Amino acid sequence: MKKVYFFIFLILIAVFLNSKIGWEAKRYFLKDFSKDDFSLEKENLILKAQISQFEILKPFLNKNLDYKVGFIYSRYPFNFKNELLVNLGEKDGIQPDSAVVIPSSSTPQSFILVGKIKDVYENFSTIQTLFDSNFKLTVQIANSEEALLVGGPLPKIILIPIKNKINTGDVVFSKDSTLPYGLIIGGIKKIQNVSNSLFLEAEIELPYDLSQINAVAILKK
Amino acid sequence: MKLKKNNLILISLILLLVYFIQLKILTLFNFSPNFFLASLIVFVFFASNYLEILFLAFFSSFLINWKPHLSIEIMLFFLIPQLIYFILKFFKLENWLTLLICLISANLLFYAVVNYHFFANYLNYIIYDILISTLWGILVYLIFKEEKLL
Repeated sequence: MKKVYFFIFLILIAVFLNSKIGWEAKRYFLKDFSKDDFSLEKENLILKAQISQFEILKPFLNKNLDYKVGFIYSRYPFNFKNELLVNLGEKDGIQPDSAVVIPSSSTPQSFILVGKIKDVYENFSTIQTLFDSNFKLTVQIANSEEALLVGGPLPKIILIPIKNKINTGDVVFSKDSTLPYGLIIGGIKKIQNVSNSLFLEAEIELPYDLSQINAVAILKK
Repeated sequence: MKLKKNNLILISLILLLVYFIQLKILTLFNFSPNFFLASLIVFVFFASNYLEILFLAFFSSFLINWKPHLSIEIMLFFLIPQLIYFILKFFKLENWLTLLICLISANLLFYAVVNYHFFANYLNYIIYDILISTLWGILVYLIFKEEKLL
């Protein structure tokens, strides 16, 4: 009986010493993805990654404006500011104060403003979002006159002339000299009267969840 | 009230956890009290020597490094624990009232240095932030002091 075991042991040694048979046997036992299997697996992974990237980028396609699409790396981790880090920088031709947008799902060919480029570095840039308390932008509410958008945890529109007829749900869009005209910002949520003032204030509802944004388009200046 | 040996790992893990909790709350509510800073200040009170403070300062700076570039927040997170440590050593004050003052003044310093616009437009948010993070800090302090976890 011992001879049988010894014989089996010798066969196993021989099999593992022979590079080809040994490798195949080892691969079978260890479920090792080598050679063809591994390259197929690798290719499959790369294709899956490309498909998921394409799914993110798909909404940005077929838009008329000149832009670059970038992925969000990280988010400012405190309350003091509201900034995002994007993987496009100086070498991609990004300039400060460029508009950062996402595509509108309801109206094709239009963009929704997320923020603007604050600092540009060689390979990345920071985006100042509408939720940053330093963010300010001239806007227009439907057909009324200009007003001022003030960013912060709850972005609001101030200095709305009291003579203007604005309603809840009116669309707010950009009318600032530094950004392209007509970028959608959101809709009026609640209108407030400011006592002893010739102006109104309004809360704004933004049509996106900032934490769900993975990619943005940066419009070229 | 001093750190036992090898507790730096425990503190680092707690800080990491608190940082993730803060990030999650920020993602969900778009605003979150500064639990991380409060916890860091509390742990300064339990540290026994300067090297531990230096480690915590480096570790917290490493954690909050959200972009590959030096920022004022990183410098503040590096300097504040050391500043509090030397104040505590100099004045020989290590009680809950000192902790309260440290928590409030550190938060105020952050808002003043990083984004003073908050004082004009969102003062109520600063008050909420300071109130909740201070309560969090005192809670952590009491848990670690009473339970003698460190």
